[in-house]
Amino acid sequence: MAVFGATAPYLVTELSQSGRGAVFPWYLAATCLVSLVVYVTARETARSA
Amino acid sequence: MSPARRPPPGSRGPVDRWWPRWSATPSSGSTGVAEIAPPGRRGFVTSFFYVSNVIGTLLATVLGSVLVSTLGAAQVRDWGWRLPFVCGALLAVVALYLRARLVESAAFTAQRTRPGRPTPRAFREHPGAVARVVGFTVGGTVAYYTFAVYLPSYAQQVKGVPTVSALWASIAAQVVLVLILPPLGALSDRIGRRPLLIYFGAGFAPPASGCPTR
Repeated sequence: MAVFGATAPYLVTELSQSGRGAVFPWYLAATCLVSLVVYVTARETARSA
Repeated sequence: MSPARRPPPGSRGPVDRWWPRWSATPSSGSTGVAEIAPPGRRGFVTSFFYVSNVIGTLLATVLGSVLVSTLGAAQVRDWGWRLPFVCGALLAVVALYLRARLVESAAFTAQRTRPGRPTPRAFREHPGAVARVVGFTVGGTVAYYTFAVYLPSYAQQVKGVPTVSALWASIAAQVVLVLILPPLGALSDRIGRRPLLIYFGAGFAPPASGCPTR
């Protein structure tokens, strides 16, 4: 969480100042795709103690 | 703290007293809340950890908007930017006082052995699990910052929306988030975590679904 999440604001500033702000939506999509793979392969834990 | 003041395992009492203290330490805070939450209601109870986190960001955003509206952007740049830091420092003293009186969770107390140097050991002995935790949180965290940080600055810099309007739009979005988190946590207790997580991932993974592309 900390590394990718906490760097997001700096990434936004860095990308927009260098005129590459359009990259950010792709960063969002890529990280969510990584998470989606983990979610699909994860075991359900709602019922375990 | 004396054993007599320790709450019984699974007691719901500590939650309301614990959750606000942890807003600055996400990992240990959410772990602690999950450990003291009663089984079957963990989704609902743990959601208040993020509610507290977002309320912190929310208050900071409100403070920012109020400062810019009352002092003006030039005054804020000049000296007003110090005021949020003063608030943060005072709140840190409150958090320190509360945390010093905190009781360990029953799950932690029940652990007989204390692992030495747990962080390097986790990376060395359970790299797969560590990678899964990163994968679990990375999408949601970046999505949150997209709404809380990226879109307000995008609206200002690219679309020319005034600073105060962009900040209030961000505040409105975060109020919605705070309101829907507990019901969604309770829903995950009923239907499971996976359906909600997969719905989120599948919704955000297609490029440009969540925000404009330029």
